Amino acid sequence: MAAATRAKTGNQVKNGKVRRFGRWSIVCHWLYAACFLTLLVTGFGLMYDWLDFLAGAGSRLVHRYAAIGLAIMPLLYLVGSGREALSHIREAFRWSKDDLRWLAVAVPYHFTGRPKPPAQGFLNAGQKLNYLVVITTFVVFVTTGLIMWFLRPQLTVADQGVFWWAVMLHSAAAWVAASMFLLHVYQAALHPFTRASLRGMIDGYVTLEYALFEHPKWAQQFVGQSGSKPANR
Amino acid sequence: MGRAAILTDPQAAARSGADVAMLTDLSECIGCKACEVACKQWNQNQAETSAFLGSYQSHPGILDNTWTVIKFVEDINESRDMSVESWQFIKTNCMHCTEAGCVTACPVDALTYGRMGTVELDVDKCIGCGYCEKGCPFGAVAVQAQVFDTDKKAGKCTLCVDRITNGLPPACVQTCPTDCIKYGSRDELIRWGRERVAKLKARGFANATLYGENELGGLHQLYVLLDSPEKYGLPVNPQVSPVLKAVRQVVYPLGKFLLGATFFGLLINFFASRNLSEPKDTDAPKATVQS
Repeated sequence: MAAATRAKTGNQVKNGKVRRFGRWSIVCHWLYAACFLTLLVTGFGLMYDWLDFLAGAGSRLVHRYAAIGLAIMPLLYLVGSGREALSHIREAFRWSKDDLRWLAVAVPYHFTGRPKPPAQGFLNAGQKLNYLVVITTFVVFVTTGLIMWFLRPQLTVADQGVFWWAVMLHSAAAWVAASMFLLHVYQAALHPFTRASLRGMIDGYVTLEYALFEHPKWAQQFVGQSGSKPANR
Repeated sequence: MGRAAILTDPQAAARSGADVAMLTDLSECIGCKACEVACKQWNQNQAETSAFLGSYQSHPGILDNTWTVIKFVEDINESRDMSVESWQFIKTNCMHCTEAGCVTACPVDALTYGRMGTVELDVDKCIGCGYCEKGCPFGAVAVQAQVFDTDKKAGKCTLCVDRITNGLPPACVQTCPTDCIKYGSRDELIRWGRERVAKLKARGFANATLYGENELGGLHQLYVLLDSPEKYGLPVNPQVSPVLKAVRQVVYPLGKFLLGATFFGLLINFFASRNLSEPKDTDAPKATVQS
């Protein structure tokens, strides 16, 4: 029973738990999170008066170093996690009517448990949205950040608009990403429906009952597999 | 007083604290750069090593430690014989705007509307981000480019606020040998400038104009120009970038609202969802699962 079996999809089942994320994906996730949080805190020092103790020449330097970390992380993820990364990203961009219906009822459902949303695959619509926000804001952060960092000396008085467009998009992306980040952390760590998912980003495994509850279209393949019997909780 | 450069008694100006200004009468400037030297000396700014430009201009432009530069503007007749039609000098420095792009741009309030109409820079608060440089429509404040160093800060003309609040005229005014840089109450300078422009027009300078009276809510650096502002490289209708204003007035409040609403929404959800049960075997929506 304890022996893990490897499914065709590359997923594993072990002790009533199913594999959600590979080890390298998990490492990249937390490194990206660390860079993002560092960037968020040092950036918000400029945007919130009550955080102005975080604004300084030193925190600007930290912001720039963390930016390098953030910028290379997706590359490490794509190289290291290869097929897993691509399949997740592909799924994040694949939207069905069920995903839209899921989003439409997501708010009342997460407050009251009703109405039941449509069954979801490996990523539910909220997680797909999170992927899309992360990818979009990443592109915005990097391009506008490079403009602010390296193009500033070249921009003349007549080109000032370019700089301010960069600042506008950079800060707008910061608030969108920060809001999504709060929601993401809350869902993964606190909400009763989904807090079981956090284990998937720690040791890579979630319980089959959670997988069937939140991702039935994906988890159904594991039912009856060797070692997949839900463990007593 | 005894000097044509001083229109208001500096002691009286310091006591009243009312808005003062400088007015540079470019019809009397001889481009000698004594103002540049006096500025460096009073403010203890290091000399800047720069390339020889092949002209009478000393520095390419204003830098973080070079706060006033006389720009030499040559108007060359390209259609005829490349002769110099006119040769102008303009002493450039911070304009001490009433509606200042740098103050709008500064994220740490190092730049503020200061005493006696000046725009003051608190170097200790400055973090060297360079937003002010990109917010100034005149290119009058600068931060050296930096990749990783943390010691670069903004620098700009202070209108010698440390001198004027103590009853002394600005250093450049003090030193100008032709008295073309005037110092006094802003109202007094505007009156003087209008009269001067009228005289210049009568002498055949049809395009002579007083610059800075209304630009950006009124500048505290005024100019008597012999020709139109463009001829001196001055913006005709300077504006704080509308994109910068949108960042501060639209994007920041919207962003803060979005994050705040998310935070409180989740807080409410935290209490509302406490009685919802975690997924159990029986909760799994098996009916919807494809076999």
